Amino acid sequence: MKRTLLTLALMAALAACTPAPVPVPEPTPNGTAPIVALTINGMGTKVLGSSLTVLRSGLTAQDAAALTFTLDSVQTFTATVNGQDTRHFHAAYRVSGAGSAPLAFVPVSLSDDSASAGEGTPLTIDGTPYSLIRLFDGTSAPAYASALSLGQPKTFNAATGTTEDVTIPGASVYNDVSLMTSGANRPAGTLAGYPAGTLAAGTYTGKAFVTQGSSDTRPLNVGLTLSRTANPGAEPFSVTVLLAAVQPAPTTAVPLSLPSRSQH
Amino acid sequence: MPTKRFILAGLLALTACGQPGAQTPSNPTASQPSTNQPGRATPANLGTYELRVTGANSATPTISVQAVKGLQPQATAVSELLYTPLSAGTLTDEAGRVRYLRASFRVKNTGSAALTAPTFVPVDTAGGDAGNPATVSSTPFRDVKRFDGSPVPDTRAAQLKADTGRELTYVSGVPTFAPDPKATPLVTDLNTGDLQVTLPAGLQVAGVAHQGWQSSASLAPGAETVVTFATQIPMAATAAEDPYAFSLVFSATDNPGSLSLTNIGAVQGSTPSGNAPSPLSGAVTVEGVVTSNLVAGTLKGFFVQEEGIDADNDAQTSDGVFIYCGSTGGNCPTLTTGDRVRVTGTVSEFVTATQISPASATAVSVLASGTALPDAQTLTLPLPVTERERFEGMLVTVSGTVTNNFTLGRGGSFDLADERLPTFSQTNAPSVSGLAAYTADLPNRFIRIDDGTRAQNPNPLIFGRGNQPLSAANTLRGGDTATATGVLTYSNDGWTGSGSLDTYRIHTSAASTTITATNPRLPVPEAVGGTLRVGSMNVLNFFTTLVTTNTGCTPNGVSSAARGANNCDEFLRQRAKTVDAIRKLNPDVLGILEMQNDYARGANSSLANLVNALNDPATGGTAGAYAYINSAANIGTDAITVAMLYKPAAVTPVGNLAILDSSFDPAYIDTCNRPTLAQTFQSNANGGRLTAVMAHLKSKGSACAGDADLLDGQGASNATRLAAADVITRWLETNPTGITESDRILLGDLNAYRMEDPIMRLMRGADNAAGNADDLVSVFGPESYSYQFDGTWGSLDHAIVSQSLNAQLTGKTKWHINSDEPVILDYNTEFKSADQQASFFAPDAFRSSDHDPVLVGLNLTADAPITTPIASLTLTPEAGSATVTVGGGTVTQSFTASNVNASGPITLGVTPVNGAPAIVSVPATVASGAAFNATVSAPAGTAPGSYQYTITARNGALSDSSTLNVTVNPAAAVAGGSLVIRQVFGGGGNTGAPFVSDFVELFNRSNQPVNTAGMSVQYASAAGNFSSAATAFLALPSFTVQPGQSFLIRMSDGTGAAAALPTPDANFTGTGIAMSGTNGKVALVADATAITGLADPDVLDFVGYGSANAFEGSGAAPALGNTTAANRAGNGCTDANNNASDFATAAPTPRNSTSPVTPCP
Repeated sequence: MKRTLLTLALMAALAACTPAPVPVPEPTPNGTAPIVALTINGMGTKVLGSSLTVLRSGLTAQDAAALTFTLDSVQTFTATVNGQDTRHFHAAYRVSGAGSAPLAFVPVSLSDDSASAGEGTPLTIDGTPYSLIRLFDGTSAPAYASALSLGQPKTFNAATGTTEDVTIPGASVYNDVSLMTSGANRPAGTLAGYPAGTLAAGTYTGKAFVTQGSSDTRPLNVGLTLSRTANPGAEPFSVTVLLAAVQPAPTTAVPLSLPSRSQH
Repeated sequence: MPTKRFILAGLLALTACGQPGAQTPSNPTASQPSTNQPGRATPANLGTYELRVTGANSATPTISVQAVKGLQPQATAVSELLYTPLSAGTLTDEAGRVRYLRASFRVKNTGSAALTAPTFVPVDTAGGDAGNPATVSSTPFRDVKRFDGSPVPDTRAAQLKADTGRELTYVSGVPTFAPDPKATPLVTDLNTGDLQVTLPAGLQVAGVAHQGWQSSASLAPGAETVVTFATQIPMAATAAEDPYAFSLVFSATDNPGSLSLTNIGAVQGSTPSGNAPSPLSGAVTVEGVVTSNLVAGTLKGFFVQEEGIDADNDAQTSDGVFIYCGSTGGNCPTLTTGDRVRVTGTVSEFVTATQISPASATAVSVLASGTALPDAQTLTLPLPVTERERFEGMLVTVSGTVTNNFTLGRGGSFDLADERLPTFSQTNAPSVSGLAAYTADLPNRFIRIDDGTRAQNPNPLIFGRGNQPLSAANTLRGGDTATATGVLTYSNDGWTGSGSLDTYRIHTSAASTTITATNPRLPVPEAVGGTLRVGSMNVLNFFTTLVTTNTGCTPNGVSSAARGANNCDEFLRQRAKTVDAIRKLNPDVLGILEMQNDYARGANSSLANLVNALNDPATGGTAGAYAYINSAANIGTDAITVAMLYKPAAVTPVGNLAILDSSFDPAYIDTCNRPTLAQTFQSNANGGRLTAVMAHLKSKGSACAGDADLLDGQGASNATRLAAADVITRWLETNPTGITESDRILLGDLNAYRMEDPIMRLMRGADNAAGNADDLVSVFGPESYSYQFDGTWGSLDHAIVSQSLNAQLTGKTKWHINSDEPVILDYNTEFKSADQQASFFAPDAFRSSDHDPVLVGLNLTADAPITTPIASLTLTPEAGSATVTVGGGTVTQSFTASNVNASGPITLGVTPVNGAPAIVSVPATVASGAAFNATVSAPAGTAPGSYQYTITARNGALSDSSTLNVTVNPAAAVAGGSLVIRQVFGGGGNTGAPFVSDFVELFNRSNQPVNTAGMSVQYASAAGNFSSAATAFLALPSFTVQPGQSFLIRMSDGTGAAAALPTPDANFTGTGIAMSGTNGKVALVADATAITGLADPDVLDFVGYGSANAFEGSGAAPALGNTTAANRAGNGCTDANNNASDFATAAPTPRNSTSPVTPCP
């Protein structure tokens, strides 16, 4: 109790220096979830960066205007875990326009809807949420999808020299969730899915990046780990991850057991 | 403790809210393993390494630590520490455009000693080469390159900062990049000043940071811990510009302890604008590098500057400060530039400059030596004075153009500016507000370069071209360019006024001041073309009357009112330079300024002296090459005058010499302006003519009759000059030379710059309206200069021509032999050591004056020559002589004065030269062609010697003069003329007297025999009169006294028992002459007649003693006694006609004609 009160007091003090939020349109309640494509590029030996776009195909203007994303930071480090060299990424965005409703980002795959004429686009690789895995020269490298894993952002503990999952107060959490969704607002000719099945109207149970709090603007923190190869120069240059922004969400959530990164 | 963490987190967040731009990491949990303990050992150096990072902006940075290249073979194990890479990563702050890089290593203690707090201290290096470069700027980073391998510009590379590893957190949803408490903290206030860092050959330590990554882990031998190095990397707009690879140089040590220092930037304080004193007072302790050691000089201190790696990086604070070592310099130890020192002292301001004063030498510790100096800050001129305080005490470098070398000789200083600074009214119309604005801006445009001492007349004078000392052959000219590196401070040159300024100045050295001969000397003037060369030249007060002494180099003696050379040495130096300048100017007509106004001396005038020297074949001249316009009489009332020379082979003066003074128009004030001269010259080649006009108007420095400075840029007496200009234009319209000639040129020092009223008035011509045929044309525009004053440049020296002559101009130049040159290179010898008198002088044109000569070329239009005979007056012979004897008869020397093509009476005059006695006379008038005598007579009292007189004949404006040399011989020696009274004794026979008789001893002090025939010796009491009575008068027998022989006269006898005199040569008669034993008067007289007194002309010698009422000179000989006589000094040879000094008392020693002969030397 003491810790909570102290935290609230400090947060209140800090609120005084936070710029007033700009009013944004309320998201469509219970609408189909827009899908965003988050790209981490410059992986490997090139300049690291990240970008995020909303897949607009088939979306209404209202959907497109509902959420905006601001890149705050891109983080990476290398470490050796259990003899495996790994490279960890952390793309930190802030999502605005979420209103006060819960908001979760569910990794989704897109596959061709055979019921539709022609091939839908974009499509992800083999039921994964990854699309457009490319090498530096632009060559598609779908085989690397198996070396990638989404998850809680990692940190390197400079005191112990170990790699850890962390939660950052206020940051989103990669968690098991159970939520109701009216389905993803997928591009025409595609089917949205996830490892367990089609992301359609109904209950979704699985992993999601769950934003915290009820502020209209909230952090979105996406962790990505790449198991390194012996030839870093041949590693992926860019990877795009598709996430469906689901609201309201989640109806239930099971927090992960993660170390907490404290403010200081 | 979670609670503590939350508190700290909140405090940090609040701090970030208040100071959003703060970048400096602060980690309250960072441990400080120990404090600075007294007696603390110098921290051990565990090796010097470089952290190498590649892919710094990529997802896969690679890291390694190795020994600094060249120090040891590359290896991961160096010295006593083993570094194993663990993790490398980056974190971007997209909003703040900063990339945070961290590199984590497992560090193992491979040594044998336990480490209590391994510390890794960034090191700034200097020197190096392409293969082993130094770190960038004042950072520990080197080899900073882009992805494509190209170097990152230093300005960007210098933005890399050592840091504590960062992590992303959120405060109210806003991302914050705070120090990661698990990362190795970058600890500040480390006591690392005395950490001795070893670098490979070629690299030099430039700074050892007082911060470093410090592990709190104690490492026993074999133990290991994780150490994280971190760096902030500002992100460029395009990633391609970002650093991709770099190294960070650091030294490892163990637990150096902590120390509270005051950053010098804090001592100086922030100065956004203007001048601000230190915000601190009392005692402070600072550390830094000795950048300039001036303890041994007059400043008694040194400058110290924060090592760049410790600088506060605040552009508004200075990183350097002056350490004042006391009036003797004793409060500092022996120091060397490059020493890293720690100073504890009291902060104060001295002449607005901040300084720290240690109480004793123990308050200044030398921590290390051989430290590279901080990079000099580049100052770019113009630089507002209000923005200079922030560099006070710092090493700076500046480049510019020499605009002021006036103080070079006296103060060892000069000024650099963004360009040669023009005088306001040279380029701007007079204006009160304009001048005020211009004057206010000038200090922003220049900066003073100083030799680091306030001593006057320094020797050596270090600032010459090519980093060599100044000399006559190695000058420092205005318009040269220079780059100087030194310490900026605020002070004056060591005196008040006369060029000394309280200003910002750079104390530097010869090695750090490179002066380039951007403005080379021209050995001869630029070509001006044409067939005639006409110019003007200032001769810097060419006076043949010298100021202090004259050993015969001129016939005109000395006068304290003279303005030129002090003595013959200076005069001959001055003349040699002036002659060289004129010969190389090679004019056919030359106006002269600042010539001694002594035309009346004729052949002995200063002008004649100069022309004779100019024509002297012995020094490279040609006999008769130059002549001068002779006014015969002095012109005006000033000590100086204008004058004219010409080449008779090229031109012939026609008409008369015209003189403009107030008699033409009272508006021309000739007691302030010098009278203006005009002479028409005719080309011998084609008869073309021009009227040359020479003017020297009133100076700016003082008001003529209340004509005050209006502060519009024109100085005092502008109205006086303006009126003179108006009169000149109207006067010239009258053709004052008697020759109607529209081709006119006005030359001279008009004491007005190009845009001033008098010049504008002249150009409007006689009608004072522009746009008419009488308008005059200024040959030179505002871009020209001929004079330097207070570091600004303009032209007081003009050539203004009529329109008709302007069409005949072929060229123009101002030969910059003077204004550009340092004053110290002129002829003067005062304030120069003997070696400087030699090395600063050359008998050449450079710095022959303070103004530059003006020269134009002309192709005169042919004209029918004027054939009217030219009127003249000749006086022959040119020189005569006469020899006379004092008191002898008169002697005459005949002269003849003749009118040539002229008529009218001739008046005569004679002028003694150099104080000669007035013993020459001439008739007042004489008829043309009739001989007349100069009569010489030397009356008695005339001092023998050689004298000179100027005989002058005048007929209106015509005149001529000759010289009469007179020798005055002394009068024929009268008999006894060299016979003097040698000894007087009046106590004879008195109690205790050694002799029974009074006596007078005569002595021949000459080298000729003297006969006493007809002479007498006469006596009178102290207040009595002389008479012919036997008791007072004794006629001498005839006796030839040989040189050095005495003649003893027995005057009377006393009654006491005493010795008799040696056999007298003359004896009294009767009762004799009873002289007083104490006070009385004795005279040796040429004849046998009683004298009237001392003034009687027959007196050959006279001695008054005691209280006598008459005596030679200033006083009587001393009173005598029974045992003392008055004895002539010098064994009888001294005769200054002063009894007081010629005689002294002594025991009487009478000598007669048989006594040993003692001739005088």
